[in-house]
Amino acid sequence: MRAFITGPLLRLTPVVFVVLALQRTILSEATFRGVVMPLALAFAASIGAGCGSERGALAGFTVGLMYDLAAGTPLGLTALVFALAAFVAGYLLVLTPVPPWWLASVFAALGAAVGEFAQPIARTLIGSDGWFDSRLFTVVPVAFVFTLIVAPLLVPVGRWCMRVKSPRWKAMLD
Amino acid sequence: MAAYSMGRKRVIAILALTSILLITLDQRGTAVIDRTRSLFHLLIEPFDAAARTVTRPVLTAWRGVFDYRDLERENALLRAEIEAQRGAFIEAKAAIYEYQELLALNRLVGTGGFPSVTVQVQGNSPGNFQNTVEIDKGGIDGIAVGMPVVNGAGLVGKVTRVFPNSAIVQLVVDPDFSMRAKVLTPLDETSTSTSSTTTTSSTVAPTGTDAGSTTTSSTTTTTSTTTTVPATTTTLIPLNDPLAPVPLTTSTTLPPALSASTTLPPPPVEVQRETGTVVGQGSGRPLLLRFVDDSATTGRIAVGSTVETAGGLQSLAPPGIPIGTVSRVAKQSGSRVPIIEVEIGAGDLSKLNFLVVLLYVPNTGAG
Repeated sequence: MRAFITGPLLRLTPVVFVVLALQRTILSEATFRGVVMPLALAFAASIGAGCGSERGALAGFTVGLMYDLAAGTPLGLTALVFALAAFVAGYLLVLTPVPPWWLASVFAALGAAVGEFAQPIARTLIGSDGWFDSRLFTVVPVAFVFTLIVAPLLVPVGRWCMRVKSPRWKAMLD
Repeated sequence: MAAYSMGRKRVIAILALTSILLITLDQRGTAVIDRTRSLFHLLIEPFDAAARTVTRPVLTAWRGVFDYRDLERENALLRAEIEAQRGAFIEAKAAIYEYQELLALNRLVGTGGFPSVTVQVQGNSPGNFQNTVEIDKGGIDGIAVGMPVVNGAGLVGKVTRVFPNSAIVQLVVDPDFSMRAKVLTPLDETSTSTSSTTTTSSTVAPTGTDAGSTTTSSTTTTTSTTTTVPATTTTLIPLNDPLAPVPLTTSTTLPPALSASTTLPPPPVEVQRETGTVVGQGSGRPLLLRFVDDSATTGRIAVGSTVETAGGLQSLAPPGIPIGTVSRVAKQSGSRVPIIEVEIGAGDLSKLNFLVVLLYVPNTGAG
């Protein structure tokens, strides 16, 4: 944990500031069919898809915590959801440890979709009802497609933040 | 690389427990968390400002591509609406003057009696599960948590978070939003009153030297009998809705077309008042009006009734701020209390720009 705080957190924090600034300005205005495109969630899921479930969950938690501080949502709520999204995206790496870029994007998109779906569940758990409605059928697919599009860019950024080098297949030499 | 690896189960457990702890502390209102939020906002403000400046051309292009047709349609609708309201505006202005005179005469406090701060919306909610806007003024300008926020047409929401230079406003459509509200229904719209109306019209044919002109006279007599229902707050007041057409006296200097149509003041109308709680149901959906008890008269609320803030010691807003009008009254099985939906009066909440924060603190009266 200490290594995470002194290492990746120093890179992660300024990048998350930029991501949150974009989320709170252009992306909150430029909606698609009334749905906000979740860049912060996509970033958290991309870290999971690029770095694995544990690191992803820690980074996702950090991104979510900063999101909560910025957006005024209950502190820890979005952190839990983003950690879950990143964990799911990272957990899918069990299927193939070194996925090609497009498969990593699919993993990140699946993680983001899970995260977006988990938000109303988490809100219901803390007593905030009324978020389960037909709008979810629009919000979750938009989150999936948006993450699928931006993940090829976000996965390398996430790896850089977490100081994880891109794994490569190497031929075994005699 | 694996220096901070703790094992999946342990990571999940620690993060989940930390989240629960933080949520609990935040919901209970911890000063440390509030200060951390304020500090974080100060840190992120330069990033926001830079992002806003850099992405403005992109946002303009995006709107040009995706919103152009919507804007055209909206523009046409607004033009038609302005034409329709141009006449009513003068009458509404007169009604507002009368309303203010009445308030002063009776030593009552209207919404105009409170100091206010005009603010600009600087950002919509960043997520899909919040119905909030961020405004450009905060604690430094006197804004505090709970203060009502209005626009020209009515209640928009209430302040839920305050930072030094900004604040977050929870919109009325948010499912977590609730506010005490009263429904005003003229009794002649309900089944409690019986009325008989006699209308006599006569046309005088042109005679003698006035051969070229026609004189039309009209007499209207209205008799109403009202049944008084116990446990109902019934107030005898003249309907002085500032936005409704108002009777004009002969001394008012208005264009002939306006003064000719309204010459006689109507008699005072009995208004039935019911108090409940209005709650949001999410963006794009009407508000829901809930009643605590099953009053005998809740079933008499009619579509079109006015809904406004109730005020009182428990309310965060002063009385009389328009919220909207009743758009649907439906019976629910197993209860006499109907489901009442309210159409928001404040208009399209996704396109808010300038708002007014009423610096109202309950129990203190007018500032």
